[in-house]
Amino acid sequence: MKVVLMLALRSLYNRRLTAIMTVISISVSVALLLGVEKIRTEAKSSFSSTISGTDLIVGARSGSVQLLLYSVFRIGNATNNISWQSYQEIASQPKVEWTIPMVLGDSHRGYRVLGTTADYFKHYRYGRKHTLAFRDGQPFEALHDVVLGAEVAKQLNYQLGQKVVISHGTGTTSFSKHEDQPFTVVGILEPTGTPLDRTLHVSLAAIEAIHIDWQSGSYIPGSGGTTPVSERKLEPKQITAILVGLKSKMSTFQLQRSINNYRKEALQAILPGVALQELWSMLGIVESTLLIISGFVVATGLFGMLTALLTSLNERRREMAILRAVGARPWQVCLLLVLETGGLTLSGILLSLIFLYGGLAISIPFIENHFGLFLELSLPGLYELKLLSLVFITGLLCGLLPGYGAYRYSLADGMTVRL
Amino acid sequence: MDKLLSLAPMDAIPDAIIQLDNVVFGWPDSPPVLDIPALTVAAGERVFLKGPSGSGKSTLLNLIAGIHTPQQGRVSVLGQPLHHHGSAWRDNFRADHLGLIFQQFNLLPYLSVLDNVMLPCRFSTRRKARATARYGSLENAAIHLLEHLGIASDVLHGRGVTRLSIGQQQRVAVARALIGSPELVVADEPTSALDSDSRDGFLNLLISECELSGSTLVFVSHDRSLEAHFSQIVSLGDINHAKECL
Repeated sequence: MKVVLMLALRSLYNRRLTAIMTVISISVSVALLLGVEKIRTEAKSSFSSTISGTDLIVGARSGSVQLLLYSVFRIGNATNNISWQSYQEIASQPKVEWTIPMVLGDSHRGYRVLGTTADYFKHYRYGRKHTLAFRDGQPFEALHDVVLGAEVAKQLNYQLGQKVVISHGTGTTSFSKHEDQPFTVVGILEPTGTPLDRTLHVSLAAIEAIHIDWQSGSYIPGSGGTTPVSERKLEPKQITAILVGLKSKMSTFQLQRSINNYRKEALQAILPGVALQELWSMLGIVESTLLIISGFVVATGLFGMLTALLTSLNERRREMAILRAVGARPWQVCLLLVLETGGLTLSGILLSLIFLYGGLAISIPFIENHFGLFLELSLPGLYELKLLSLVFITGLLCGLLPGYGAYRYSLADGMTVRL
Repeated sequence: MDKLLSLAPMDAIPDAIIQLDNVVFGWPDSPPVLDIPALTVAAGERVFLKGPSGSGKSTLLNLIAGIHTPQQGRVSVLGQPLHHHGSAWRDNFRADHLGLIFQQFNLLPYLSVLDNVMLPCRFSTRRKARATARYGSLENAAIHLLEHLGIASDVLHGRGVTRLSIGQQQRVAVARALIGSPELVVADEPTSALDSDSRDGFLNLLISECELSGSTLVFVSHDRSLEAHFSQIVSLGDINHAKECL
């Protein structure tokens, strides 16, 4: 056994160029597998941690995924709104600890504008119950104050004190702008890796104020009356969604049922975790496709190794014959090749870890900036280790094929191969 | 194994080191290649086995080495009837008692000269024990043999075996075949790649080293000019009756 190991190492060293290429091709494919796996799990956890600490999301009755999409992910629009009166009724329930009203519908250069209250910065949680933190400035206080998500500030290169004009509607280029009422940046949030980074936050009153002279979706100056903005009671008539935090989780289902059965308005309350699961399962095909593709890439790498070994096998018949002549048993000749593939696969796996972690270390800031995906440099988990051992065992089994070939050659050729 | 060890001193074997009785061998579905009624090689003999190419010399060597077994008849080596034993036993037997030299390309390119010479001892504890008993260590045994065979020590510490001349390579192969003093050394046309000047020198070295280690030598060649060096000459054409049956 020790001799065979020594021979395998020396023989590999002798063919080090092909061996190194094989190891690299295996390691690249395994690193890809691990990388895809990493991004898959991290994307899933980042996705499901977009919102946390909220017990119920309330909106007009539609689908739960749709409500989740427009309220949390800022994708799509609400089909209907909630009246201010209903909101107040829900907020005044004894079981409710806090509520965050949300008004969506306006935008700034493609980024959604969210009208809400200061409670948003107090109660909103994401990830493992992270609170929102300010990188610069503070929550909005004055009517025309705006708080920017991290990405908005970064992409548009906005600083504190800058003037921002909000567009009516949600298109990237909108012709109808609330130019009469520019906003001032008073706060910039820390990055969260959630859609919140791509949101501008203003007060509910501000949303009302900029829509004073708007009738049926178009701006008619003076149509909202002549009372100065500062003297008006700016209270929304309708809001888009409500985030609800309860005093006790026990009452979640009870309140959900009572909201769903609310008589005066067609409302819907969803559990964020359940809706996130539902949404993720729709993306499950993408997830498993990624995994299948990277599996095939690994198979390609191993096939490459197998091809290289099988090709060299014929050239190495003499080597086998010499080994037989000096007393190697056929099983030892077979073992020699299995050890070779095992060694190649193992080095490939180890190198792939270096590739993966090196690559991650380099690309984490890039991925964070461009995709808002937070990756952690964590040690391979149980699942990764299982994948790696699967690759290793497959590599060893691959060695059985040329190993068996060598075994047969060494039996048939004996010691009399002539070149 | 103990029984074999008791055979080790050469003078303790009064009879043959190789004995073939009515051996018939052929590949499946084809007429026999070999049909040898009798062949005996006594201990300490230097045998010249001649015959044209394709006459079955290699097959005969594989029978003696126990790689193939005959369909009929009996092959005994060192008094052991090979067909009484399984292939694993024959593998061990071969590793312990047989040294082999090929026509050329005898050495593993990825091992040093010394490692090539010591290789048989890594597969046979018996040969390792013998070599160390005689020279103190495996390396000493290898160096001693190589010096005897005229491989200068600077060659030993040179880089790879691929830089050696063919003549040097063949002498290293002789050292490898002889390390641990196997009872039988089989050389399969080892001189065919050498030029005629170095051929005789090589043969003299091979024969004297075999005598020193007490090994019986079976030398296969079709070059009749070498016959003079040997004590027993066997023409495969004469002893093999297979062709006549065709």
